[in-house]
Parts: sequence; C-alpha cells; structure tokens
Amino acid sequence: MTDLIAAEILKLRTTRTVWALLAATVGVTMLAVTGAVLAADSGNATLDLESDRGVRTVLHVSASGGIFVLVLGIIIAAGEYRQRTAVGTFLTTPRRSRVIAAKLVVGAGVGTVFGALAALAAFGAANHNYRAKGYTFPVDSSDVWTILGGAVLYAALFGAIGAATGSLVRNQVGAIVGWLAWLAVAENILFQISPSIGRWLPVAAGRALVRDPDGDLLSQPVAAVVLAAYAAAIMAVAMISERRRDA
Amino acid sequence: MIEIEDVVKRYGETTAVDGVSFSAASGQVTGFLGPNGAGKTTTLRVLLGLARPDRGRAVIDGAAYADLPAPRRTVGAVIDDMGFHPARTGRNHLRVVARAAGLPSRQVDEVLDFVDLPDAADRRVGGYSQGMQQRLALATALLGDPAVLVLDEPANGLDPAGVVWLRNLLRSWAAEGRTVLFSSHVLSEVETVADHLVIINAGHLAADESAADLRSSGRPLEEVFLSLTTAAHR
Repeated sequence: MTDLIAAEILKLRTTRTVWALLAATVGVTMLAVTGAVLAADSGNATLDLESDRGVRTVLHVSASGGIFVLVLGIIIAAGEYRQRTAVGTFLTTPRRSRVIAAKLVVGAGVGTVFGALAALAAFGAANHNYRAKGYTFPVDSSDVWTILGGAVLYAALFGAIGAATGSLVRNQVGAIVGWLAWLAVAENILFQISPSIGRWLPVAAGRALVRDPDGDLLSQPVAAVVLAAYAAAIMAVAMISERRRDA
Repeated sequence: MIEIEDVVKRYGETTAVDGVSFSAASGQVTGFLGPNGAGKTTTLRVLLGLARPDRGRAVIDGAAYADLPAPRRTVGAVIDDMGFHPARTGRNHLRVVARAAGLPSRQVDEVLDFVDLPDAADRRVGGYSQGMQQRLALATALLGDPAVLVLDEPANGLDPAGVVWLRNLLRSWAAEGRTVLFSSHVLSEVETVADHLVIINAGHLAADESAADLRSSGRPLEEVFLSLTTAAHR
C-alpha cells in the first residue's frame, strides 16, 4: 500500500495540475478573507470585527478554496479515465479496491497540505487586513485556531470525498459538474426545506467544521465525523461497483 | 504458459467472444490473428483482468491475472486502450509504474535504453509520435522483466527498423523460455515470427495450429486466413 500511495503522489507531482489548483486554493482563500474583512468594515456594518462573532464571520471563509481540493480529488481518480491511464494502473494493481483506497488516502493527504497552506494564507490575510483597518486581530482567541484547524480538516475531507467520487463516477467532467450543482444549488434548496435534516448534508457539515456563525449547524467534531462518513460511504460504493465493472 | 478456457464475453446484445479456448506455451511466440472486431482485444482484456468474462476463465501460469502476486514482474502487456498522460514525460510515466509495482528505479533507465528512447525520455509524451508512444508502451511492458508477454498489435506505428527490432525481441524472449502472445493484422509479420498461430473470427476459434504444420500444407497464410475468416459470413 505504501508503494501505491507513493506512486499516486508521484503521478500528481509529474503533471502541472496540482500546482495550478494549489495556487487557486491559496489565492481564493486570501481573496475571500480579505473580502470578508472589507465587507464587515463597510459603512453600514454593525459587526464588531474583534468579537468572537466577528472572527468567525471573517475566518469561516478560509474554507473557500476547498472547492479546488474537491476538484483535485476528483481528478486524482477520474482523471485516469480521462487520460486513459486507468488500464495501466489496473495492470500494475489488478485489485482495484487497493487503487481506490490509495487514491482516497492521497486525496486526504494532499487536501491536508492544501488546507494547511490555505489556513496560513487566511491567517496572514486576516492579520494584515485587520491591521490595515485599525483593528487588532485576536490571535490569542481560541476561535482563530479552532476555525483554521477546521479549515485544514475541511480540505482533507473534501479531498477524500473528491477522490472517492472520482473512483465511483469515472467521468471527470460529470463528477465536477455534479458536485458544483450540489454545492451551489441542490443542497441549498434542501437546507431551506428542512434545516434539521439539511445540517447533516455535506456543505452544511463543512460550514460547521469552520464554525460558520449563521444557522443551526452541527458541532465541529460531529461535522468531521459526518464528512468522513460520506467519504467512506462513497468509497465503499465505488469498491463494490468496481467488482462488476470492466476497466 | 497462458490458458484461455471457454471464455465468453458479452456487451449487451453483442457476444464479442463466444467460447474461445486456446493456450500459448512457454518458449514459443504465439500469433493471435483475426479480422477487425473478431474479439482479439476483448480476449486479451479478459486475460489481463481488465474485463470480466461472462463464462470461462483465463490464467497465466495457473493463476488469474488479479491473483498474480506481482503482476508487472510476471506479465508485460501492451493493450490497445492504454494511454499516457500527455503532460507527463516518458521517464516519469515509467517511474510511476515502477513505484506502484515496487520495481527498482534503475530498471527505468534500462528499459529506456532497451527500447531506444533515452533522448525523448524527458520530453512530455504529448509530443511523441505514434511510434515513440508504442516504444514507451513496450518499455512499460518490459519494465518488470516478465516471463510472459501479452501484446495487442505491438507493431502499430513502428517504422520498419522498429518492426525488425520488435521481431528480434519477440524471438529472443521466447528463446529464453518465456511466453509471448501477440495479436496483429499484419499476416506477413506474424508468419515471420510466430511458432504457433491462433485465428479467431466473429468470436469463435477458427484455427489453432503450429506454424510448421501450416507451412507444410503449402497454402500461404493469407489464403488460409481469408478462407477461415470469410467462410462464417457466407
């Protein structure tokens, strides 16, 4: 399994996709945090940026780049079909569930690295913009660290969910479009219909993980378990359906 | 030693392979012939564990491909729908395979030399000619120094020098007691190199005999092939 994981990492390092998505993740995170500070500080805003709620409002957007980690996870798995490299991968490792598991681990691992760099960028952007507007960024507040830690976990879990989805769906564009439609539209509607069920859905669980101040969301640990369960469930379905599928 | 036993493979209503059995012995080059759509690639995909047969089984040295403890060390395969990531260099493609298969990385340089690709090794595969891609595919197959070669149309895209090189490779591989099974459209090529011939047509086995027997019949391979593969349509 170690060899397989190392090979999956080597696959990523030997194309350019991963660097483009890393740049996008960090860039979008910095923009989102900067935007959140500016919005909260605009003329008619009543939010106290130095309060707990202020910190949560600004920092929960540090998961904004997570969408690119989800896309990367999908590419890790479904990209093999797009580039027709899946056959070679299965010739090397005919036990396909091992390939699926390795890809999930790498999706989570790369997500952790992306998430850590994005959290660092979010911290820097928040600190800089607070100072620029004449506020003090409350670095000793535990909120700062639970939110940034949540953002790292968010990226790790969505990287895993992306990889599992890519293995299941195989169609890279379809998987990405499907998830974007879910994130942008479908889950929102479900959440409006029933918040008590909606908060168990992936986007709401992700928001809980970065302690979004709005809405009656799950606690951070429960949200992490819920997202991990989604990743595991999608992976399990992928492994089972792979037993019947041709490469 | 490769054994195909009563393999049936259906795609929806179409039966691509319908009860084909044959074997490819070690120490021999076995040529696998058939018109387009005869079921050659499907049979090889079943053999390599890429497609699940609806009936029958295919084994390599007694084991199904998926049960081989070290597939890349046992079987070297070139198959039609195997692609390369266009942005990855040839060398990095081989490094990935070596890593996943637990093979030492020095074998990457060895096979690159062997297929005469060292100059192009650090260029992106997207810029390779078809012949260079075919050499890279062969390098991938040879990476694990396997005892069995399964090659689907390995001469595709090779220039005349490449074809001669491939012919010598297949011969020397078999001379070392290894097993070679390769498919081709090019009858003259198969006739030159194969010790044994298997011909399939419309999913059925049409011939399974030694090249020597075929030669002694006095009929040219082309004539035999056409009579076997067009009869079913009449």
